[in-house]
Order: sequence, then C-alpha cells, then structure tokens
Amino acid sequence: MNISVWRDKFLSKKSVKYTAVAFGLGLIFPLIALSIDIGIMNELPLEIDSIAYVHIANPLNFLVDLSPFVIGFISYFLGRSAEQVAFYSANLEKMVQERTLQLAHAKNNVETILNSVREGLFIVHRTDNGYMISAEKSAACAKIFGKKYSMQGDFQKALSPFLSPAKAKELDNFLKLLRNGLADADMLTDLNPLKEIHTLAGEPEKEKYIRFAFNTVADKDDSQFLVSAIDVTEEKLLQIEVQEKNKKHAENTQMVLSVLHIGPALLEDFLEGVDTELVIVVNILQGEMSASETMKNIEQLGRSIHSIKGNASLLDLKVLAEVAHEFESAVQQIRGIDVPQWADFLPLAMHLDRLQKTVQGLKELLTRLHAFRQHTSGEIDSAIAAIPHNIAEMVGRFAAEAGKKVSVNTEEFSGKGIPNRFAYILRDIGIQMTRNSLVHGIENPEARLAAGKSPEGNIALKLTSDAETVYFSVRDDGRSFNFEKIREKAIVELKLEPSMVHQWDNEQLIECAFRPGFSTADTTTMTAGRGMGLDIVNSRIRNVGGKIRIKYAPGLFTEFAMSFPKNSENKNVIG
Amino acid sequence: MKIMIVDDSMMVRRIIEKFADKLKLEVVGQAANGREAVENFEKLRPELVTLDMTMPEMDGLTAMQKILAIDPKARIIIASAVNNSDTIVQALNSGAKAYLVKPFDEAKMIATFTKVMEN
Amino acid sequence: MNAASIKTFVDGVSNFFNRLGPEAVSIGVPYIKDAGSYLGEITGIIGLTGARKGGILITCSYGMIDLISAAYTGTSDASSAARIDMIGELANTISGNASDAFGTDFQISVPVVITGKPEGINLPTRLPTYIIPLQWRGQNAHLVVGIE
Repeated sequence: MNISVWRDKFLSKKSVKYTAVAFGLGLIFPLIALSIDIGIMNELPLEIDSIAYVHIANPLNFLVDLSPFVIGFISYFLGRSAEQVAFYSANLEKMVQERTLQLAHAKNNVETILNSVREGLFIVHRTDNGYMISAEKSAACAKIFGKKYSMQGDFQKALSPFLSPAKAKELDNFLKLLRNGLADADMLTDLNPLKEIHTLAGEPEKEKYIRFAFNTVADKDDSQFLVSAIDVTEEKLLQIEVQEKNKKHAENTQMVLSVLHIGPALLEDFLEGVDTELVIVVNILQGEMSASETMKNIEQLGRSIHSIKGNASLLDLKVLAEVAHEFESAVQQIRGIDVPQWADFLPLAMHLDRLQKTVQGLKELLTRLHAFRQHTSGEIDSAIAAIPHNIAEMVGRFAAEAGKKVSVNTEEFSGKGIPNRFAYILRDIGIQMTRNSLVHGIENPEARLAAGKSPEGNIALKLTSDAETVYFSVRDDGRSFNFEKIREKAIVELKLEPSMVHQWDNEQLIECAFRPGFSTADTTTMTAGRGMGLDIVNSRIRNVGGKIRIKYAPGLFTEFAMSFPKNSENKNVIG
Repeated sequence: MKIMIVDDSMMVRRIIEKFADKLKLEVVGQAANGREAVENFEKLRPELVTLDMTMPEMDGLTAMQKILAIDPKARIIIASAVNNSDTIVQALNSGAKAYLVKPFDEAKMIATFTKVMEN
Repeated sequence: MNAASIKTFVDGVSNFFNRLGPEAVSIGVPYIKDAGSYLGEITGIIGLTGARKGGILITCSYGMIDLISAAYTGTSDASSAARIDMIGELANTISGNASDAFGTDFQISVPVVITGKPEGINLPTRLPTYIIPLQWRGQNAHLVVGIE
C-alpha cells in the first residue's frame, strides 16, 4: 500500500485524532508543574539540569508528567468507540435499505401469487357484525365473480346474488356451526353447502358452476378461515357434454345391450304394450273427432305416450324413452292451445313417425335375437322359419298354467319365398292369435270331453305364398266366439249403446271385437292385459295392405285367414 | 362413562351396545322413542347419549331439545340414516355434539365417540 | 320420478349391503307389473313427504331377513320381533340415505311392517311404481319405489 494513502487513512481515524488532541492538551499539566518549579527555583543559581532534577524529584510532578499519556490512552479508546458508532450508523441505513428491499420482494412475490392463482382466494374473519372479507384477495376473484359483484364487505351479502334463498339459509346454518366451533376439518368439507353453485357470474355475465371451499387458518382464536372459489364450469360442462355424447353414441349399443339384458319375454310384453298404445295414438290422430272429443283425445294421447315413455325408461331403453318424451312435450304444447286446429296436430305426425321407426328398429333387433338364438342352437337359420318354434315354446309355457292341453301343428308352415322383412309381423300376429286361442278359444280337457272333443286342443298355423301374395292362417278347434262376452264388453267397457249392441248379429259382433281399443278397454294401466288383441292384428294387416277373413263354427273351430301382398312396403308395422 | 342408547330399532341398539362395550362404556339405559329417551335421561343422567332422529311418539330433534333443557351440558351423538348436509348442520347447531350416518362405519364411530368423550 | 331418483334409492341399497359383508348385492332390471307377485314374506314400507311425495317398500323372505340380521348385528335372532325390526331399519336406512340427494324438505316416515304374503299392496299414492329385483347371497328381494 502506498505510504501516502496509508498516512491519510491513519490520520483520518478518529482515534488518532482524539489521542493527538488529548495528548496535546494533557501536556498542559506538566508544563504548569514545570513553571511552578521554575518560579521556586528563581532565587537560586539557575541550571536546567537541576530544574529538571528538582521537577522530577517531586513525586507529585511524576504523576503530572504522566497525565498526558494517560489522557491520551483513554482518548484513544474513546476515539475507537466513536468510530464504531459512526460505522454502525452508516451501516444501519444500509441495513434498513436492504431490509426494505427484501420486504418489497416478498410483497411482490405474494402479490405475484395472488395475481396468478386461478382460484378466488380471500380471508373471511368474524366480527360482531358478521363475517367480513379481507381487502387482500386474489385477482381471480374479479374474473370469477365479475366486477359488478366485488367480493368485499359482508361475506354473506357479497355471496347473496349467487345463492338461491334455500342455499343462502344453508350457508347461514353452516356459518353458525363454524361460530360454535363445532366443526373440524373433515366436517368443513363434508357439510359444505356450497360444493357446487350454478349461477350467473363474471363479466360478461354467463352461466357458471362455482365450487367454494372453506379452509381453516392456523389461528389461535378460530375466528378466521380461508375461502377459495374455483370456477369449475369448464369441467362441469365437459362432463355434461361427455355424458351427452356417450348417450348419442350409445344409441345402438344401448338398444342391443338393453334388449339382450332384458330378455325376450319381458321385451315382448313391453312391445305388446307399446303396440297397443300406438294403435290408440294412431287412431286418434288419423281418425275423425268432434270438437268436444278433441280435448279428451289429446289427453288420452298424452297418457299413451307417457306410458310408453315410462316403460321404456324403466327397461333402460333410453333412445325410445327420449323419442317418446319429445313426442309427449309436443302433445303438452297442444294442450296449451285453447282451440287447437288440425294444423296444430301436424307436428305430432312427425313425432309419431319417429316413434314408430324407433319401435320398428327395436322389433327388428328382437327378431334378429330370436333368429340368433335359433341359429346358435343349430336348428333353424331364418327368422321366419324360427316362428313355429317360438310359438310352440310359448304354448308350452302357458298351456299348463292355463290348465289346458294344447298341441301346435305347423306342418304347413313354410317361409319359402317370403321376404324376411315380414318376420316380425308374422311372428307377432302368430303369437297374438295363438294366445287368443289358448286363453279364449280352447277349452280345458273336461269341457272338451263333455263337448265330445278330444281332451287335447289343437292350433294349426299355416304359412304359404304364391308369386304375389302371402297367406297366413291360424285355426283352433276351440269353442269359438263368445258372443255374449263380446256384447257385454261392448256395452260395459266401450260404452256403446245397449239397444244398438243387442241388435247386432254375430258378424257385427265379431267386427266389434276388431275395434281399436276393444282389447285394452278394461286396462287403465300400461301393462296390456292378455286381451284379445284383435285390434292390433287388424291394424297390422291393414297396414301391409292385406285383409282378414274369418271362418268359424260356434263350439267347434275358429280360423283367421290373413293375406297380404308380397311387395307391400311394410314401412310401419303398425297403424 | 355412562351411556344411554336411543333408537326405535332393536337391531341398531344392539350394535351400539356392542360397540359401547368395546369402548368400555357402561350402558345404563335404552329407549325406543323420544318420550322414553327424555324420561330415562332424567332418571339416569348418563354422560353420553346416542339418539336416532326418526322415531315414533317423539322424534329425535324434539327429544334432544328436551334433554338439553334438563342438562345443557349433555353429550348427545345423533345416529341417523338421514344424510342431508343441511339437516346435519342444523342438528349440530341445535346442540348435538356429533352426528353419525347409518349404516355405521366402525372407524368413524370410534373417532367420533372418542372426540365427544374427551370434551 | 326419473332414473336419477330411482338410482338414489338403489345406491342406498348397495351402500347398506356393502357394509354387511364381502358379497355384493346384484341389482336387476326394474319393471312395472301391477301384480303383487313380487311381495315376500315380510315387507317394510316407508312414506316420503316434502318436496317429493311417495313411498318405498322393501320386501323379502324370512330367510333373507334373518341373514341380514345376522350380518348386521353379528348375532342370530330369528324372532318375529327381530325380523320386523330389521326390515324396518333396512327400509329406514335406504330412504334416509336418499335425503341428501333430494334436498332439505325431504321427510321420511316411521316404517310400517307387514308380515306374511299379502295379496297386493298399494303404496299410498297413485303414482307408477317401479319394482327393482335384488339378489344377495343367493336370496331374492324387491325394492319398490313410487315417488313424484
């Protein structure tokens, strides 16, 4: 180091200065002592040695001579302290500046956190006037709630625009629970009433789903908690969308699965019920109505569709249920019109078409199921060819239950040359007629014997075709039509004029049995009873452009001979 | 510690009884409806009460109010099949110390009983 | 009544049986049949009021309710009182557990128990009723729900 720099540093030190000054001042004492000694020595011959000698010989003078050194010594340390004080005071400012900078950084970080979190965060603390929201909150609050609803002041008031009155009350109860200190962390989560709030919020205002959570704060007196609000709209909407998509995609899969799950017997029952209701619907829509009947008919329409919907959703046939639901809504719309005109009924035709197509799709599935089952048992490989088997099976199931002995003859049943698309209608009619014979036609063994017949009844199914026409007949050797019963039903259930009914001849009575609603007239619930079902059969045949001829002999036999053109489109199996 | 068990189902009382034995609690009484619960509480003064909500004659909440009128410090644990959040909150606000939902989960039962017994 | 409501009750059933032991309860496809042929030897009925009105019933054989009792309490008691008690509690738990989904105004009644196979039961409403077949440990039961 340069001597001149060193010298400047040395000389600028406070301790050096102090020492120098003190030493200098201290020298006064010895000088005063010396001058006193000189004064005393003035009478005697003067010699500097002896003055010095006398001066030093006096012990007091010795002490005085030391004083500059002592004072200088002490001052040195004083100087050092002064230096330190100066050092610290200079550094203190620096330290304060540093700390201030640190705090600024920290505050920045917290602000950064508050500004970047996606959740709305704020502290709520309990006061005598209720729960107050802290001033510091995350920036997301403005985003989630919108500037119009600033989260400030009273917590409950701030939230009230987003809560229904019921929810607001639940929140109030919940806060009361928190006040009483009865809730632990688990309860805060479990009993939280604001797990999902569906509301309008934000800027611009839109539909949102907001999830609130209440978190405890490590606080001695339990009077604060941290509230977080998360906008879960995206997730929720996605969830809804996925559900919708799945629903749409699952249409066919759903149908197949539900059909398989349900099992043919139950599905058949269901479809029979649907058919019955649809016949009613079609007749209402296509028939003639007087103005007075319109309201009643609309109600009946609604009921029928509602039935279909109910049962379809029961069996988890979602697609059918939805179509029925839309149809039902359309019917409800009409009910709102005071005097509906025919034009108002037009949209219903569209819905009806859709419904019929859906039902048709279901039926085709069922048919294929049946064919599949036959196929896997290795016997028969066409849907039509499977029909005798189905019918025989059904007869086997029910005959014993009904206490009757019945054999089924299908020797003249051949599906050759008949398009497969008629499989459903043939099977359906076959089952319908056979069941009728079983229930109403064929008598029990005792009655048969008494009538001179064999104890076992017989049902014969014939199916043939020529180039243009399909011929299908069902014949049983039972008791044939019970005209009395038909009359009774006509009067009691269909509420027809007794005098008129009594006048009818047998033919007219038989025709009556084919009337729409005849078989369902006594069932008010959806489950179609084991009715005669002739009205369904009739509309089916009519729909494929065919006709039915009846041959019978009371007490002996009944034969229904049906025929329809091969090239009929068979778009709608019913109606 | 003395406990009284209140539930209209004998099955449920049996389970809670078994559980009380496990926790070395002394079952001093039982009741099958709210009215009995209040009467027995007055006589027996148990330190702990389990109380069902849906009971004939007098329901749980009413019984609880009456019991708290006799002894505001009564430790009442509600044990019910009703799991509605707001109902639970209201029960706790009305003075129940804890709430258990049926069917019972043993771990939860232990935790709840322990917490209530400690206070 | 919609699928979600029925599902709430069915969930209550699953929850109950899951606590009884390792065997799961299997839920069959629900159906409407107005014949009361599904009714078993013992039936527990609970009425529901408030925001939604209606009722539920749970029905099964004596054998099944005894099995349930044994699993629930750990002791076997096949007395009439125990059986009535158990089915009542079963019905109570199933309907009580639905209350969170149905909201605050939902109230359940005290259970009514019927022993012996009746001809048919009408739940005290004119609502369509859905019958849900259940199977547990090889035994059959039915849950019937009729609610607005």
